[in-house]
Amino acid sequence: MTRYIIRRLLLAIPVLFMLTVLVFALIELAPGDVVDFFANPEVMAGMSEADLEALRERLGLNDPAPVRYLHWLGGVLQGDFGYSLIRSEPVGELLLRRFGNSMMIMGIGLFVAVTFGISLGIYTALRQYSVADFTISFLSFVGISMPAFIAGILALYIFSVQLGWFPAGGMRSPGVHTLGDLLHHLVLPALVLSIIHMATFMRYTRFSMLDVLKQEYVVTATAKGMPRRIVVIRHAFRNGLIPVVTMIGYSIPELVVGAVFLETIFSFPGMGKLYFDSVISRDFPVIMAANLVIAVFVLAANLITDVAYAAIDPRIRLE
Amino acid sequence: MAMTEVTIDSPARVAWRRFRQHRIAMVALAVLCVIVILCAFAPFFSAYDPLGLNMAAIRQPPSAEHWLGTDTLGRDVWTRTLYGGRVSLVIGLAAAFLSTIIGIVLGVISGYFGKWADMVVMRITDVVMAFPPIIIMLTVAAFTGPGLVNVIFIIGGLRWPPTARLVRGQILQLRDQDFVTAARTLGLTNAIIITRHMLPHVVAPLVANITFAVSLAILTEAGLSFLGLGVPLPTPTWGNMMEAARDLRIMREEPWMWIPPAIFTLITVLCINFVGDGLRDAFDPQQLIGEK
Amino acid sequence: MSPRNGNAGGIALGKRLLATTAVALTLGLAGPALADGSLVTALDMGPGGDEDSRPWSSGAGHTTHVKQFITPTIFNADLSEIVPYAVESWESNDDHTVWTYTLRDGLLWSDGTPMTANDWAFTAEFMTAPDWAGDRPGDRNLSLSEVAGFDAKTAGDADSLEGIEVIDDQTIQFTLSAPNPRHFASLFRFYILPEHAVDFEPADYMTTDWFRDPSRFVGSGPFVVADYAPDEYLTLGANENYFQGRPALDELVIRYFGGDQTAALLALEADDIDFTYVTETDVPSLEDAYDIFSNLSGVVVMTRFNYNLVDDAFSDIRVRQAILHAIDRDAITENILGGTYVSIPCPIPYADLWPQDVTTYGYDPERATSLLQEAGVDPGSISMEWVGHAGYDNTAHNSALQAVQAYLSQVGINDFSYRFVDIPTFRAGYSPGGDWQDQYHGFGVPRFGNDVGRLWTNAGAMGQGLTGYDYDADGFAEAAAAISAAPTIDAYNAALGDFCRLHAETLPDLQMWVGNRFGAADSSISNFWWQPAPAGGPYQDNAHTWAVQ
Repeated sequence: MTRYIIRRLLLAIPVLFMLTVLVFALIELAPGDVVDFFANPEVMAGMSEADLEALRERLGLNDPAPVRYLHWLGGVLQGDFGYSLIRSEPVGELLLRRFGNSMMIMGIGLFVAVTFGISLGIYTALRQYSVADFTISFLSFVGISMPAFIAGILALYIFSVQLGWFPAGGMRSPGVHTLGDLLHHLVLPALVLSIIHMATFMRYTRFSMLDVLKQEYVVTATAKGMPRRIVVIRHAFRNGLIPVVTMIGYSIPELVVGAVFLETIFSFPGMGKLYFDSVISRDFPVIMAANLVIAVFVLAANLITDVAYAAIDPRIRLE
Repeated sequence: MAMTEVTIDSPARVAWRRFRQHRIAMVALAVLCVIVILCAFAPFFSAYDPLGLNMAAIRQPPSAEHWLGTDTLGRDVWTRTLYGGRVSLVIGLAAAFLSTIIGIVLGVISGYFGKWADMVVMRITDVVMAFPPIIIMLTVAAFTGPGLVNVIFIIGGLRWPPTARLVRGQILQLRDQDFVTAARTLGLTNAIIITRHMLPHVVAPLVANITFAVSLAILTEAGLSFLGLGVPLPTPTWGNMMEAARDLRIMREEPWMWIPPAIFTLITVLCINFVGDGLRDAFDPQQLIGEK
Repeated sequence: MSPRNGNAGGIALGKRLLATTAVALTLGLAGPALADGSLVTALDMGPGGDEDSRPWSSGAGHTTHVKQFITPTIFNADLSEIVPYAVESWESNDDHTVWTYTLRDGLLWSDGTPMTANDWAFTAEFMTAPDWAGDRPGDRNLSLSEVAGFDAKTAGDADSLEGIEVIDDQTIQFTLSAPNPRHFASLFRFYILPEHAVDFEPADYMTTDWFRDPSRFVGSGPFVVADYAPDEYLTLGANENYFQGRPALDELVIRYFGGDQTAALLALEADDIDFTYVTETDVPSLEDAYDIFSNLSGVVVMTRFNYNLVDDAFSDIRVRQAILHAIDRDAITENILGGTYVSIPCPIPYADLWPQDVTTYGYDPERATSLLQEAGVDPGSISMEWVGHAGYDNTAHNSALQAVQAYLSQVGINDFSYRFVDIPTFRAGYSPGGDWQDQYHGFGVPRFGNDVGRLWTNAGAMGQGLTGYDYDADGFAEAAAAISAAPTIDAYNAALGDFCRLHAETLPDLQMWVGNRFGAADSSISNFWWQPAPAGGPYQDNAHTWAVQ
């Protein structure tokens, strides 16, 4: 097991390298650069082509692509992620802050989605085709049949504008630095996020539980007179969880950068919005570093999932 | 139930018989058929042109003339919902199909053959999973311009990793089980072992996966339009019709513009899910017909 | 089967979670409210806003900059004129090459230090340092590029700016490299910085915290930096030493919404903020409950046909005229853009400046068809793809462009499509040599600004096609030069009229419509003033008199 984990960690190095090269290449291929972003024709009055050229020179954008990539890589290996080209802030600080913000909302959202999703999934599996099963299925599908942005607007409109229960977006009230105020701002976006993702966990749990409940060992355990509850928790639940664990792993990058529209409507300064803004402004130091962070998370999640497979099901050998 | 009959019939017929007994799945299938027919033969169910603007009838609420009202250009919302369904259903189903096929193939290779194949496939999966799709979309958009086929390939081409990992996980579990070992001892080819003995066990998680892939594709198409890569307007899709609710005025004062496509999407996704339920039961190797 | 007990664990967990949520709610509701005399706004929303920008290096955001710094001159409240602000008076020599400015008496920095002409000269030298790191030098160029010795100083060939001389503490003299009869209008974005307090180098201009750090910041506007949370808000406190008097507000908070107008509007309606920019479609539902601020924004939303660069079909003026005749621009502005837009004959957005005899191309599909026939162009062979600036990707403009498409197909032009793209993509395909045929975007045309005349020339800091106006038709250079050389407002306006006429005759691009822009403010704010100025002004908004009840 330890050897397996060490090997996977070593394998992560070429994967990360390949990923950064690919991302860098894609940024290169995308039309325009950050200087084109500065020269937004809507507002740029006053900049000449010579100014833009000087800016490109100063930002090092005139160097050949491989040189720029190696320069970036050299910096990263020394722990220097450079400065954001449009925010004039060290990328490390920026990512740390945004990632922390995202983790709060994602942490709550994922926790609610997973706990409720799995609980309801087990519940509906045990009562397959009951009225409760259909009702819960129906409601959970409302969550995934609507764009996140619209779900966010509806939630804000109902709970902030009409009922006044929650603040309409933002992370804190200006000048207020209390935990209560922070949580008050987090509840609504986190709940919307969890509703969007809950259906996924619920359905996977349901299907996989249905599958496992019919397996011989579960049937045997039940036949031996073991109480149903114990069978479910001790046998079926553990094995039924495997696909769910996979989906949790897969959800992480989606939760980290996929929440862009939700963060936008809640004016929440998280990673999704940062990544999106960086892409549409070609702020490559931020894009690269953000990708690296996301990749580390994905690789870790996948590794944990694989180890979990082996832990849950002893028949699987890690090799 | 007559077990003897079952052993005589082909597996497909058995499955179909089991499926037919699944009342909800049959209802869902019927509803799905209705939606597909409505969309496919939209001209028969609507007297309006989905693209024809009418300056005299802008933003009108539902009426006898326009069952679901009109949009910001005076176009009939019922008509656009039906025509939009054509594009959205194609995108949803094709993208889900594509990602499922890629996912199954790579998942099987990885799980069944293990070793180097597993290592390579799973590292590719890592890379694709770690790629936020927006950057790929942007680059592709720059080179190919917007279009239906691009949307399908981008969504399908990026959604397969969870399928691959799910399939791999299931295959890993099955690989060393007695019946597989027995099949191998009997000298059955890998292809037969995989398709006959292993894949049926993978159907359950896949059904859930496909359901989500369909709804995700329908919604993602709308998001793509922001980067200039969605299906270009004025072609209606359920996704871009729903996106109209980004405008606060439409969201709260003119809900007839966005609620119909939202309901159609919901019903479609629900039906696909229930049909999937039925299929799952029908193909379930352990399910005994007489059990219920 | 007895599945009844199976879900016990899940439900218990759910209950615990609900309890946690309830605790969080109670805590949150007990949070302290903002102090009295505090105004929370989304001033940096809309096209005039630029979150997290700093003066001298921003494409917009002047509404915020001008709260913290004063400028020598400024637009008046309705953007019709440039008036003295930090200066008391100016005079120039006969050929408009030497300008002398006198600062007001008794100007103080927020820390109590007197502001002198030396601060002004210091700022000019600072901004022209060869290693000055500002990434958007537009305002620097506007303010200083016509000063003698600008090129030598910025290139590092001279130690100081030759054309600037401090006469005494209150007097400064500018020597220009070319005559400018309205040089004072070049100074409305000249944010004077405090020489004694600036503790960073020009090379660190973009990375310094100085502009957001309450302990280091020293300003001269009505407000000073009090608190800053990146991506969340900027809180400004009252400047006791502001020359027009201490502001009535204790705090002016600028909330950031990442540019999303729906988010800001929801915050306005939830009473979290008191003011935001709003789009034209929101106005009808807000009119009753809020004070609406609007004016003709001076932003022309237009498309430009690069007929001389890419597509031969458009080289015939009759084809361009036919396209204008085919589109019912009045119906679109009236019905789809909600009556907040009007169609225009030329890129001058002010109806009172249009000459009586200007050619307008009204809706006339028959005329369009016959013009195409005369030109010998088969409408079916015309292919158009309009690429839109992301800033216009909203319901109103999407609808308007779909209407354009429908109108064009009525005269047989069926191959029309459009899409909105992000800014770098737009710019990369937009500049001369870019491969796009048509663009859909807006452009700010201030009513009386120094830069207007130079928008349409191919030479100089403003030209070179970067703004899109690389007209090379006969007469455009002369018409633009006449605007630049106009010594009075009347002469300036007349020159704009001539330009308008010439444009409508030659149609180097097709102008579509010009729109109002809007802001909505809670009626509890008194004396509030906001104008949807191009790029945010700056203009006199008398923020020191704003108050909340």
